[in-house]
Amino acid sequence: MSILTVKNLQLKIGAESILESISFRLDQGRILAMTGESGSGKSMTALSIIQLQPKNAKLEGEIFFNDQEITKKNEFELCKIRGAKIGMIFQEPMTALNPVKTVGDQIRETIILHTTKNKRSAEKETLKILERVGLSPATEFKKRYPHELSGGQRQRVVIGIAIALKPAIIIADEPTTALDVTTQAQILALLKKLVTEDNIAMVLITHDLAVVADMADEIAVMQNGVIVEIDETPNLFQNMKHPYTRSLFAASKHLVDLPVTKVESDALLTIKNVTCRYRLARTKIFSKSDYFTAVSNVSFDIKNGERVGLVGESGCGKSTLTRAILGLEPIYEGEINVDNQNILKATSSTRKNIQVVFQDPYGSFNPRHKVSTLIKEPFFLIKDPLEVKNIEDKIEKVLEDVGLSATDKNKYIHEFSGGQRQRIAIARALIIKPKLVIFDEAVSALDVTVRAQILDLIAKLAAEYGLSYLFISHDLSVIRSITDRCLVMKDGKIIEEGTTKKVLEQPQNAYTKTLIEAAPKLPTFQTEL
Amino acid sequence: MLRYIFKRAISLIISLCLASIIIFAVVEIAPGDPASFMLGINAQEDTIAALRAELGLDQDKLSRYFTWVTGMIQGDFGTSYTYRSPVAEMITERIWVSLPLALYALLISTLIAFPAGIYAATQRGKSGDLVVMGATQFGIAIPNFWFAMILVVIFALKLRWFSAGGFVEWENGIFQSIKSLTLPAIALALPQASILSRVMRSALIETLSEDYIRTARAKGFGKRAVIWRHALRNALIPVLTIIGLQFSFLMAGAIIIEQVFFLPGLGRLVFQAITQRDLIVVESVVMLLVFAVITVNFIVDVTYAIADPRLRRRV
Amino acid sequence: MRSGSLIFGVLLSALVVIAAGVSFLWVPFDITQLSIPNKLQPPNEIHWLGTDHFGRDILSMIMIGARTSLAVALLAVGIGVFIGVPLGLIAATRKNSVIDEVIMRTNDLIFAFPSLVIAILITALFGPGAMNAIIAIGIFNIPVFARVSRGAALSLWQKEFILAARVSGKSDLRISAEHIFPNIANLLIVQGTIQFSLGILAEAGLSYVGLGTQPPIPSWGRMLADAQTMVSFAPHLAIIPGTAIIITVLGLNLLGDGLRDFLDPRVRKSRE
Repeated sequence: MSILTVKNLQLKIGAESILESISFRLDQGRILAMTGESGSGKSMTALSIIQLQPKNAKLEGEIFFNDQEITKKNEFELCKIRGAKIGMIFQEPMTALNPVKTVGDQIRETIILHTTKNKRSAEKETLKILERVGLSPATEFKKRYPHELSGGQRQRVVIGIAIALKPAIIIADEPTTALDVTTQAQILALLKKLVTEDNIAMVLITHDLAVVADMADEIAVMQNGVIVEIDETPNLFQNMKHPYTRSLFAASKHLVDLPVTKVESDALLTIKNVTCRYRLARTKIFSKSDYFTAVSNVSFDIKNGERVGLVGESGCGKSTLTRAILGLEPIYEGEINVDNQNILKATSSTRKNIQVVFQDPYGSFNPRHKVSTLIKEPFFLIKDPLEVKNIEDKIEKVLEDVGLSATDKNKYIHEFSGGQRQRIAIARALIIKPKLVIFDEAVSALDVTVRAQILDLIAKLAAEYGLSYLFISHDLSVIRSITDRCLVMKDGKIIEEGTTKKVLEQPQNAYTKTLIEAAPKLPTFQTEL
Repeated sequence: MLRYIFKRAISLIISLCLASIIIFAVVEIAPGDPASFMLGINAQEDTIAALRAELGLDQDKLSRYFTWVTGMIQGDFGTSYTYRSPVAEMITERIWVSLPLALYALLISTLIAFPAGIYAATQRGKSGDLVVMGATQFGIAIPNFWFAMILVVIFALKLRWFSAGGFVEWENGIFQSIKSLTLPAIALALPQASILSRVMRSALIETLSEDYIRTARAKGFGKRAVIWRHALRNALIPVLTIIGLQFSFLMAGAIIIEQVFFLPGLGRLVFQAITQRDLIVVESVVMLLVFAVITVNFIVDVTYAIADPRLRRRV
Repeated sequence: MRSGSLIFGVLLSALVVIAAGVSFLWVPFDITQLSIPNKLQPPNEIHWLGTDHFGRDILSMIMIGARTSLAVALLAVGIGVFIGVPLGLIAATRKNSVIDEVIMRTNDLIFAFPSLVIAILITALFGPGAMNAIIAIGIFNIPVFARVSRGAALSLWQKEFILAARVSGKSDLRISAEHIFPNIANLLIVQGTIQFSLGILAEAGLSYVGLGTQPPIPSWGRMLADAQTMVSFAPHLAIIPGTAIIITVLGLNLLGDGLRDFLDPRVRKSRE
């Protein structure tokens, strides 16, 4: 008998349909993954199961938990189910925890809420749970506040809260999306262990197909609020029926067609023994400030025509290095030269050779400016009046080059989707025809199908414009598809470098090996598409 | 934590020093010589000079400043030009009116604002919320001295429940003293309660939309439990700052209300001293009020650090 | 309720502004003429709002008083904006530097001073009158605008589009003007209406104790002071100016609330 059965769930906000005909069953000890791109309705389904959908949303359909229909239950009974019988794990561990209570408190209060245990036995129980999720020594961790823990540790706390009362079902909404690849691997392993030990039924929501392939027994693919395909994992991968599933899978495995380019012998960008550090806030009034070294003795070159990747997890120093290359960050030791000019002393004639595309399609643009104003901003670096002629034509051409239309230049940025905004960001970077572009996690915030299109675009334009680029990403599959050579960064240092193929297939450094192993892989068994 | 308090304390002392300089400078720059003001238009040159010497006004500004400051640290606030009596005594007398009045008004304000703000936040968008928001809009728009006048007309002149003004000394009966402070406290409390309700409401609404509230619901806490156990404590943090600010405002803002109700408080004292060009009294009372504000801010900052553990490590 | 705030706010504020504006061209009666036989009339057909203890027409006095209140409050806001906003923006470009510390500490210091007491001090010592009232009130607007601008600017400096502007070689000053200021303008408008309404209340308070606008120019605050002794037999003398103040402040606050929602880009998006 299935522990959870959902029949024809329908969710509407006003006239808009958010979810339609959602049906599935889940048995104990099994993991069902709900996957799809943003806006597909995965999170709404999760919230609806525990009846925490938005107040103005109308829910229809039936949800059976343990043979009891729960959509019509009153709040009091639902409160008894939530937390005790159905546990929930959310995406952002930092904001999911109350910042002013210790983590021990937050686990303990769940126990006290649902059982008749007194404070002391709840305390003992809390320590056991902390150990179980890998936060050891538990007596130390229970006193910590959320801001004192790392992202992975916080997520373990959230998991601890979810499993505290040995629920029958756990719903995990993008539990590892905000975490580093290595941490993600650990958290997923923890979840798998708990599911087996406690015979829990888990609904795992994630946009990452590779994670799904690793973890799930059954997969439901969602698009626009509807489940388009649902099947056991091996069956699904061998035999995809729905065209959307196929395109999703194709995009995840997408290998960009990198045209062969000619690499000059002279270096465009030289980074020599660069160290960047900044002062930490003083913790004692009269002591000297400590320094944090973000970039430590880094050296590498990028030649004209090269496509180089930089791999690193958060905190490795890649953002500081990016800003240093752009001349926006003070350099403590060493030198960065572009076209043989020191970047810190460079004039606009040198600076105009480097441009950048950022990660966040929503924060990269001034919301009050029209697209044409946004795109032509780099022209501020062009002092030659001849080049500045016909700016409007140049704007239109570059918009068409990136796959948009010339009339888009009069629109405002909020009229565009994430993928379209990144195209505009690329247009802004290319309009003054720089020699080097830095792509700083430029596709990390995009859905997988859009990501594939943008990567194709970048490869094509790089060849057309004769660009060199430095592509920074934490995602190994992206690096694999779009770079010829790559460097691996950790704790401010470059710990490995070589051709992309060699680094990813025959890593020498232990950390690189960990990174590669930790990254979830899509299965190789599939029919030819 | 101790480092945090230490740094705040240093800040407090520096602010007090700067404040004293500013106050002294502003009062001294003002046109008009206190001595000639006190003696009138027809006074003789040498009479004025003699008075100036007696009041110590002939010394240069720097030494007068230092005398004043060192005196204050020791508790000597100087001698009033007009009354020739120690300012410290005058202040002590008046504080027994102003401080209770401020606390009374703060109490009324809080007692109204907390339930109103919490109710409005829980009824957000519904009629209960609209009523509270409408009422507070009016409350903020009403000048407190005008409201005081209305209160006097209705409750003192027509209904005769209270007297129209004056203060009954504490020695003559606590109940009577409190009664004489009631109408003024209500007049003061009205706009403050309105502001505080809105702050409480928006702080609570903001807190309720945080992710950890959603986690609490997912844990099984009901809507009411979530408010009391999780939201309120976090929402109180910004509310506390406002209460601190309000206390400072009430001490000083009562200056007009004390005129309306003939209350012998600090406000009335400083007002009379200004009109009489009694510079020493003005400087000392303003310094005291600034001291009160800065100290209250300090206390609020420390309370912040106790309430919000994220602040404790940063210096 | 959202659009209700805006509509009511605009209506009430406009009412007061129009009354003030009209008063430059025409008032029902000449208030420099005292007319003792006509004194203390309650509202009637000739004098719509009645007359005061000197026989002057109250409606005319209210209209001219509107001028005073609005002018003083507006100029005081002007002082706050023109000095406070640049200070705040400069402080934000150099966060945690010496200049930032100096600006913020000075801000906090001014906040520590009891504004009403200082306003009374300044106007009493330097001479009562509208000009000094404007300065006295304006001084306390400066730290408000400085703090608001700095706070908003700081969060904008973190955004990537600012980084993009720096990559395009633009200086901090240019970025503050081209990118930062237009994005905080909405916030400043809303804060401006709040400070404006506070200025109206402050001017009324100063005039009430005799330190604001001086006779013979009418001001609402002084009308209330004059009314105090006669309020038991001529209540309209107190009620009418008080109501005028309430309507103005209420209108401005509603306008501020309504503007805040109207200009909020998130609300705007759902309307499109």
